[in-house]
Amino acid sequence: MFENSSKFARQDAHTAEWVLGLIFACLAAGIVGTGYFYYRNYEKIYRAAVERQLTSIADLKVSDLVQWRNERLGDGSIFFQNASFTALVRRFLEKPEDLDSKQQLQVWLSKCQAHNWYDQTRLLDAQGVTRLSLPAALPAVSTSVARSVSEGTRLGRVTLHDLYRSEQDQQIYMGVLVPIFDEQNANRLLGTIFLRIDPSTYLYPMIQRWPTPSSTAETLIVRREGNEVVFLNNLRFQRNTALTLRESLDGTLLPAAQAALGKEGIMEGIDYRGVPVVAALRTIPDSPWSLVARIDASEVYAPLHSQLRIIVGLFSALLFGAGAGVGFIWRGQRALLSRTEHSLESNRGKLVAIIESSDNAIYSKTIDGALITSWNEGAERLFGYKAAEMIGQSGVSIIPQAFLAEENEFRGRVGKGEHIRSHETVRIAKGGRPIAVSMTVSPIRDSAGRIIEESAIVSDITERRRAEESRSRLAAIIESSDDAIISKKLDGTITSWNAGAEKLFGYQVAEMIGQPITRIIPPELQADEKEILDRLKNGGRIRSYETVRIAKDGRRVNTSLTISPIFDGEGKIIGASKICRDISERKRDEVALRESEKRFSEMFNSSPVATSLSTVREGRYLDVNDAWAKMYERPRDDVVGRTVFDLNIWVDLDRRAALFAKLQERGIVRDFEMELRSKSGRVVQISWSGTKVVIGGESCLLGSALDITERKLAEEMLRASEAKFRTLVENIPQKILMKDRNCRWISISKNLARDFGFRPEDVVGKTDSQLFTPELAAKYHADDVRIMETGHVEELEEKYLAEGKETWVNTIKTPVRNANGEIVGVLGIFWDITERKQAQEALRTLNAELEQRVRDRTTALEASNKELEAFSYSVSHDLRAPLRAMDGFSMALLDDNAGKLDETAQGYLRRIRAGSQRMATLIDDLLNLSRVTRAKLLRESVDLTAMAEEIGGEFQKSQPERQVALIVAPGLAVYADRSTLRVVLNNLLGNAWKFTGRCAQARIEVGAQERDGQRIFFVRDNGAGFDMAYVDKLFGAFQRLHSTQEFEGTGIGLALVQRIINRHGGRAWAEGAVGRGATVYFTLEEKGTDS
Amino acid sequence: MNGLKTILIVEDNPDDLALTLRALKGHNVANKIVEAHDGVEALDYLFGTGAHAGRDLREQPQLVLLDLKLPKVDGLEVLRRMRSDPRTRLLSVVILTSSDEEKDVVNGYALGANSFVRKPVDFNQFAESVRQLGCYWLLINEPPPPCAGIP
Repeated sequence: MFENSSKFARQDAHTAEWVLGLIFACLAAGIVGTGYFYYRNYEKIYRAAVERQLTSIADLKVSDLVQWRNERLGDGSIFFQNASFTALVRRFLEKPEDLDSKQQLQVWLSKCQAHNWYDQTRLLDAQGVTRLSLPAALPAVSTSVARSVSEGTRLGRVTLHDLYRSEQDQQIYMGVLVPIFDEQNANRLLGTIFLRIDPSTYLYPMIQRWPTPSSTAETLIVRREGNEVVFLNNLRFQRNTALTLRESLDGTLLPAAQAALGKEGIMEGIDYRGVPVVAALRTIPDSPWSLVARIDASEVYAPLHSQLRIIVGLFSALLFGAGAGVGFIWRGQRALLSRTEHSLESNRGKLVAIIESSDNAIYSKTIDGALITSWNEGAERLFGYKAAEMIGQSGVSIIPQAFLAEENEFRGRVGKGEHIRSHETVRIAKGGRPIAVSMTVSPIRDSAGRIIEESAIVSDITERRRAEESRSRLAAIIESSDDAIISKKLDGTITSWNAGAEKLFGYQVAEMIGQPITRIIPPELQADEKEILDRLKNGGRIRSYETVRIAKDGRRVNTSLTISPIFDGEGKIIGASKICRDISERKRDEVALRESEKRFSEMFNSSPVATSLSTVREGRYLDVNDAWAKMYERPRDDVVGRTVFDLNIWVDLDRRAALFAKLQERGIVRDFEMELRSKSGRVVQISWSGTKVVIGGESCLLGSALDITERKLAEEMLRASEAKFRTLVENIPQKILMKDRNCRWISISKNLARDFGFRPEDVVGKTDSQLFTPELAAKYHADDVRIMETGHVEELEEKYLAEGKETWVNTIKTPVRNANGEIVGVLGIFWDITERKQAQEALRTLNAELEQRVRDRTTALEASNKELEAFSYSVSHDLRAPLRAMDGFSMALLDDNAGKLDETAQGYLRRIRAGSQRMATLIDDLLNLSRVTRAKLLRESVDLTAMAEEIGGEFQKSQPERQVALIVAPGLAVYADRSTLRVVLNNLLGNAWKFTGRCAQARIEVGAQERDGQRIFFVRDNGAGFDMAYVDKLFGAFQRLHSTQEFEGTGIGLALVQRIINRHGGRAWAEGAVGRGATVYFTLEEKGTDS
Repeated sequence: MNGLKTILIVEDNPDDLALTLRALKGHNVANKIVEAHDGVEALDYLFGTGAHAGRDLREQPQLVLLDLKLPKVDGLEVLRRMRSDPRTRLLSVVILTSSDEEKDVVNGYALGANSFVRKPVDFNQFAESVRQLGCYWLLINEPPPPCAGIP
C-alpha cells in the first residue's frame, strides 16, 4: 500500500512544471496589461492637460480680439451722432471753401490719428467721394470700402470694415466706418468718416503671440467666403497667406475649415501644411472671424512618446525578469524531482520496513469512509488489536466516546490538506484501558494529488506523563524552597540553581549554571570545598555543616550546608546536591545572647544598686552583688546559699508578706518601701523593685534595693522646711507665687489665690495663658522670661484685679536658683499699694490744681501790674501838668502884676506855688515808691562805705555851713542793686542829716554789726529822735512824726527804704527816743557777698 | 529877625503851651513859632498835608519841641514818622514832657530824639530849662544844612 507514495511524488513534479508555466503566462499577461493601462492612463491625463492649455490660450485670444474690436467701434462712436461734429461736417460739405470748418474738421480727425491704429482718416461725402483726408489729398477709397459706405448708411451705425486688400498699394487694411446723418434734415446722410487701420501694427502681432515657448504653436484667424475658408493673417510656416490662402470648406480634417464652419472645441486634424495638429477652434462673436489655436501633434505628443518608450522598456525588463525567475525555479524543480524520484525508489523499501518495525502505532484510514486501510505491528502492540481485526473497520473502538467529535474534526482538516502534529489525546486499548497518546495525523494523496487517506502515528505517552508530573512536583518543591538548593558536578561546575539560591546569594540562574561553585566560597575556605568533594566521592554525606559563603554583593552569609551525592543510573556518583540554609540571623542571635549574658552579669556585679536573686519558697539567696554586700555589710560568700530567715534580715515580716502579696498580684513590684537589717543591726530603709523570674524551674525573686534612709531623712526635713515656708507664706500679708523655668505655677499663697478667685490647688501646674486674659498672660510671661534670662530682680508696679476690683500692686520678681546657681524659676511677691497709688493720684491732682491756681493768680497779678503801670504813667504825665499851670501862672501873675497886687495877694500866690511844688514832689515820691516795687534788681558788689561817704559829701556840699561828723565804718561791701541801695542810703543819710539840723554837735554814723551770723547795717544819728510808741508808723508811706515846719519831707523816705530792703530780702527797723537820736537798722539777703 | 528859623511846638495842653511860649518870650527868643495841638497837626505841618497843604516844605523848623502824650497821634509816633521820612529825618527834636518814665526816655532816644527834657513844675526851673534849650539848639548847635536829609 505504501508504494503509492513515489507515484505521488512524480505526479507532484509534473504538476509543478505545469504550474510554473501557468505562473509565467499569468505574470507576462499581468505585466503587459499593467504597462498598457498605465500608458493609456498617462496619455489620457496628458492629453487633457494639453487640451486645457490650448483651450485657455484660444479663450484668451478671443477675449483680446473682442475687446480690440469693441475699442475700435468706440473710437468711431466719438463722431457718431455728435451734434457739433455733424454741424461741422454739414458746414464743411456745404461750403468747402470755409477754411475755418475745414481746419476744425482736420483737428477732429487728427485726434483719431493720435493713436497709431489709424494710418488714414478721411471724410467721404454721401456719394463716397473723399472730401477731406489726413494725410491730405488721398486717392479714392478701395471699392470694397466704397461698397461698405453705402451699406453703412443702411445700417445707420458705426461698423467695422473687415480686412481687405487696398487697390492702391496691395496692402491689407481694416477700417472703421462712421455714417454722419443730418439730424436737422430727416436723417439724410451727410457723409461718412473712414478710419483706416493697418493690421500689421497691432492686430497681426497680437494674433500671432503665443504665451508659452513652443516651436510649432500658432494662432490664426479665418473667415468664410462662400465654400472657402480664407486665412486672414500671415502664418508661421507659410508666407503671404493673408487673404490669399484659401481652402475648401470640405476639408473635415482641416481645423481652419472646421472653424470657419462655426465649430468650436478641440480637434485633431491636418493643417494647411499637411501636418497632424491639435487645435482649439473658436468663433469671434459679432464678427465674421473664427480663431484657430493650433500646435503640431508631434510637439504635443513628444513627451508622451518618450514616456511610452520608458514604460515599454520598464515592462519589458519586468517581463524578462519574470521569465528568468520562473525558468530558474523550473530548473530547480526538475533537479529536485529527479532526486526525489530516485530517493523515493530507494527509500520505499526502507520506509515499509521502518513503518512495520516502528514502536509507534501507525495506521491509515480512508478520508471519506473512515475505514482503516493499514495497521502496523506497533498498532497491534499498543491497542491490542491485530491488523486483521482492524483493516476494513471504522476503528471507533479505539476512540473514547468523548473524543469522537475531535477525531471527525481532524479527519475533516486533514481532508483539506492540513497536518495534525503531536496532538496529545486519549485512546482505548483492547479491553477498555485508556492510553495517553500523542498523535500525528497527515493526509495521503493519490498520484493526481487528491487526498484520499489519512495516516496516523500514535505513540504511548503514559510513562512520560507520569515522569513529567513527578519531575514538576520535585522542581516545584525545589523552586519554592527558601533554602538554596544547588547541584553541581564532581568538578564543582554548577548544574542547577534554584530560586532560594538566587535569593540567598543574589546570583541569577543564568549567571551561575556552568560556573564553578568556588565563586560563592570565600578564598580562605577554598580548601574545604576540595575536602567536601573528596568526602562525597567516597559516598559520604555532609549534614548541617556550618560555614560561610559569599553572596554576589560580597556579603558573607553564614550557612548550614547539607550535601548529598547524586548518582547516575548505574549508581556512579556524578555530582552533588547541596542545600544551603541561611543561618546568619541565628548566628547573630547567638552572639547577641552571649553578649547580653555577659553584659547582664557585669551589670549585676558592678551595679551600684544592691541587687539580689533569691528563691521565693525558701527565701534562699542565689546571688547578691557587691553593692548589696556593702549595703548589708555581709560578704557575698556569707549570703549565697543562706535564707532570709537564717540571716534575720527582715525587720518586719508582715511587710514581707505584703511584698509577696503584691508580687503575686502583679508579678512585678516597683518602689516598695521596706526596712531590712544589716549585719551590724542597723536598719536600712530601702525602696525595692523587682520581679519574679523562673530559674531552673524554681520561682525566684530578682530585685534591687535603693538605700533611702537618707532620702527619708531629707524628705522629713524638707517636709518640715516646707511647712515652715508654707506657714511663712500663708501668714505674711504679702502675696507670693512661684513658677518654674517653663513659667508653670508651682505655688501660690492663699491670699493671692483668693485675689484671683482661684483655689491654690487649681493653679499649680498651669501656665498664665490658662489663668489670665491673653494680654495679661503675655505680659506676665514676658516679665518672667526676662527675669529668668537676665537673672535680675525686678520691682514693678502694676495693676491687677483682686476679687474683680482693680487694684495696684507692687511686685518684686526674683529669679529662683537651685543649689548649682541655675535659674529654675521665678518668685513673685506682691503687696497692695492701691492706697499709696490713690494718695499719689490725689497729690497729683492737688498739685495740678495748685499750679492752675498759681497760674491764674499770676495772670491776675500781671494784669494788676499792668494797671498799676498804666496808672503811674498817667500820674506821671497828667497829674503834674495842672500843678505846672498853677505854679507857672502864679509866677506869671507875680512877675507881670507885682505892682498891682498887695503883699497878701502875693503871699497867696506864693502859697499856691509852694503847694503846687510840694504836690509835685509828693507825686514824684509816690512814683518812685511804685517804681521801686516794680523795678528789676541788678545785684552786684557795692562798696557801701564809699557810697555813704559820697552821699554824705553831697549833703555837706549842699549845706557847707553845717558841722556834721560823718563816721562811716570801712569795708562795708555788699551784694545788692546799686541804684536802689543808693536811694536807701540817700534817704537814711538824708533823714539823719535833716534831723540833726538842730544839733550843735551833729554826728552821723554808718556801720554794721554782726548778730546771729548776720550783718546788720545801721545809720545812726544823734538828732531829734522819735517816740518808740510811734515806731510802727515810721515806715508807712506819707507817715510823718514831725511837722513840715519842723522838718521838711513827704514821709515817703522810710517807706521807700523798707520796700527796697524788703526787695533785697532784708529787713528794716528803727530805734530811737525823742531828743536822743534815731538808729535805722537794715539787713540784706547776702548771697555771694563773701567773695 | 525874619531870617530866623521857625520853632515847632507840639503841645496839646494850652497851659503848658502858654507857659512855654511865655518862657521863650521871656528869654527873647524871636523865632517864628508854629503851634501844633496834636500829632496830626504836627505831621500835617511837617509834610505839608491837611491844613498845611501846599506849604513850602523847604522851610522846615530849626527845632521841634515835642510833647509825648498827644491826642490822635502820640509824640513817639510823630517822632517815628519824622525819622523815617528823608525830609524830616535830620530835624532837631527835643522831647519836652511831664513824664520821666524810663520807658519813655528809652523809647524817645531809640526813635532818634535829640534831647529829652522833663518839664519841671516849678516855673522858674521850667523857664530856665526852656532858656537853655533855646540857647543851645538855636544858637550853639549847628543844624544840618537844609534839605540835607533828602537824598
